[in-house]
Amino acid sequence: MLNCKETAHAVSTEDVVPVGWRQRLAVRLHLMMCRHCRRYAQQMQAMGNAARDVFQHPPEDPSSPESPENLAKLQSDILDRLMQPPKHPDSDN
Amino acid sequence: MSDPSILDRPDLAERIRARDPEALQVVVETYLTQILRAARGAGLKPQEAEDVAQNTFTTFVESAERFEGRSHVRTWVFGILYRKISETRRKLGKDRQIDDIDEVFESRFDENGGWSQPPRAADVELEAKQTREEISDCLEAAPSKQRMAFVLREVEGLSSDEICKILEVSSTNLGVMLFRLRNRVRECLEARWAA
Repeated sequence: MLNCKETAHAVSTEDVVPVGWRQRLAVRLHLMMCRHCRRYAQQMQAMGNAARDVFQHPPEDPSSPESPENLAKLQSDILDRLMQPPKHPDSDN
Repeated sequence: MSDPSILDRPDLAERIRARDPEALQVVVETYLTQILRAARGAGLKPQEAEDVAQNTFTTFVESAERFEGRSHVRTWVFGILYRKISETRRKLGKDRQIDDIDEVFESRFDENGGWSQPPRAADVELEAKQTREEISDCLEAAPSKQRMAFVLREVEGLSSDEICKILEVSSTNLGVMLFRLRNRVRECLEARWAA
């Protein structure tokens, strides 16, 4: 039987630290019974969703290199530089 | 958009070394957006992110002789990116050395491992909206390596194995990093939900 601390720890790392089926089952069982841990797990999930949402859209800042115009310009600048013959790296800017 | 299958061909390294325009274009088109996202995730300002992206591709081309196609191009590009971001953050003195989140996490539980301060319940929809608004600010407090691990995992959806190669850490280490980052961000968000 896992306690809340162990469950919270498992929930926040389970997508990258491989665990056996017994552990996975123990986590699921605890979540079924414990609303605090369920809430914690939902918040972890919400954090991932928010990050995807925020980072997959360019920020509204007009100076952001991720805005479509800046991105196109940066891309062509980078390509221009790469196609020049090698010289002192990082010295021209 | 040029033909992205160039990335999977055995002559990729050779073409990069020769500065073949088509191969360079595919590499830049494929990875620039992801690089800029990761740089933003790691807390770089727009100008810093541009410089880091520029330098990442320069190093990528210069190190092409060492690339034999054994690792996927993406792992290689992100590995370079990670090192550039660390250099930049170090130069700017942005990374805090003290990580107290383990104690903060411990303090939420009693001696039996039950919650002594359970996660706050709030309006779920309001909370989701605030999470989107505040997550960038809340990420700001975490070290760049943890932030990059988080973005590669949550936003780019890379596997644990690939992230370990990029950041040169063990999977146990990656688990610790994500544990700390997620709990730090959760604590920060919770403080703001309550406000």
